Amino acid sequence: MPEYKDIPDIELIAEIARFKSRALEELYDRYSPIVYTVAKKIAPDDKAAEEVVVDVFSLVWQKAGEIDFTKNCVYTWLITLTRNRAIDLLKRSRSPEATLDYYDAEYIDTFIMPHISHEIDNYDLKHIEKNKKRIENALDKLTDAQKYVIHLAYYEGYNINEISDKLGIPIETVRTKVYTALNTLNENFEAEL
Amino acid sequence: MSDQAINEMISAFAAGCMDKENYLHFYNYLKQNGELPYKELGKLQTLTSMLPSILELEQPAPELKKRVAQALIAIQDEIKVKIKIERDKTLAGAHKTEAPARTTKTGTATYIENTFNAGVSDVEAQNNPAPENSAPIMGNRLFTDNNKKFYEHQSFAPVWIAVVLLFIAVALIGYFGFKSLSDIKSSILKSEANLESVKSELRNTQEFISKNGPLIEFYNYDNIWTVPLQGADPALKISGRLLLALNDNEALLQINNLPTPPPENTYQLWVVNKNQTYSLGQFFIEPGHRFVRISGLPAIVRDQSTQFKITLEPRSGSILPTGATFASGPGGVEPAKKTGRR
Repeated sequence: MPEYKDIPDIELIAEIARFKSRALEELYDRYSPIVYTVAKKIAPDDKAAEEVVVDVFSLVWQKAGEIDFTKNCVYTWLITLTRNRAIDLLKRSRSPEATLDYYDAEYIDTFIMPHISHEIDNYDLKHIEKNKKRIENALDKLTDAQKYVIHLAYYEGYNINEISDKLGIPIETVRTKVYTALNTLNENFEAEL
Repeated sequence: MSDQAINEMISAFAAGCMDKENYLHFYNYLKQNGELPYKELGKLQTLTSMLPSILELEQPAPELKKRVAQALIAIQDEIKVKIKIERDKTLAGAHKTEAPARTTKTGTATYIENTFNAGVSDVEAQNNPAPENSAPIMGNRLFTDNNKKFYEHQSFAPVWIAVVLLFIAVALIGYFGFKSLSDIKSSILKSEANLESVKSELRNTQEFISKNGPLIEFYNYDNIWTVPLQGADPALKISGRLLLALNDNEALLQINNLPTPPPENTYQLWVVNKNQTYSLGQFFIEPGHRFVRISGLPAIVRDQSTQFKITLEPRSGSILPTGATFASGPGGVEPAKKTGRR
């Protein structure tokens, strides 16, 4: 795929939207390690993690043409899509109630497809790799409680009510804790420059 | 909504921890381009998506790439199969309609036939693309530019408009049929869960009533005076209360952990009134029971009673307490509850 090797993510996704299979293959080669890693971190088992990877790239193929990536970030979109699908499988494995939700087109559009702010910086994988140390340091500076809240929400897929039950603290407190944790992380990240 | 509430909401959305109801509200609001600090939201979404970047990356197995390719081919094939089925139906219908015309008006029939044949040839050519035109991906073949042309070409032919409309109609009927069935199944499952929950509540209520029946019944009396009872020996952990229906000379003793008396003994309840002790009656409490009903009490003047106590006495009963006191409670207290008689 030499013709796609050096093109930016946003152009690559535009080619995928035109059903250029080689462009999708290039995207797979670029992103499959991080997508697989996220899927493995969240999904209940290895088999489910592989299912997540297959679903993510299938959805990219089907939906790339429907999204305006000039107001989006391919990296954030792809990681959020992976996280959403993996959390969905995790919740289904964890709670019989979640299995009552049918995995149909409407469900996918509402709960699986990422809804990213149209005011977002368009970073690519290289930029993220460059900033890996910054995010690591920013995370290290959080308190253990802040790290735990972020972990429960982002990787374990617990919602605010469930975190409240799990930690035995009021819902309002959890809301504030999530807000404080993310904003402190953001401040730490900015300060790492 | 306050700025703080909005900030908390976008943080929860970015962290992916909104509950379903709030998520749907936020999702709809977002879809309608509602007023939000989008810049902040974007920043937090970038930040959360960067969290996995610190994980140690794992390479997926090469077979996974093949599975992705197979999934994409399945998506493509699924679309093709649906289109082919609809096309065949339309063509069959069209031939039936045009059959008489072909026998009577040869020129027109030939023209229509040729048009359809051209369509069929195009479809088949696209369904079996030549190897040099196909795009290899991960060892398989996927969509090519020719496929795109195929879809564009078909959109100009009126017969394909009919095919697409039919396809949409079938898909919609299938979708709504499936959705209705799914909804019914979902409702049944939810109803069963609710029923179980109601049954469980009912069982708990019945258990509570059966355990506390005598107490509930006793509260039908009015002018009830409750005397708390405490064990004399803390090691035995005896506790309870004595409920006295003063107007009706009835009492209900609720006592916990009172040891079973030896066969030759029984318990006796006493009231100390103006320094004189009067028997209120003997009782025997069966193992596993907590309530004893005592009827025909002597008239008790609340303001003159100073103490109630339970002692162990000979089975024949005593006029005055002779055995050890097991529990006692204060006299002269106000009634705990006053209810109208039902």
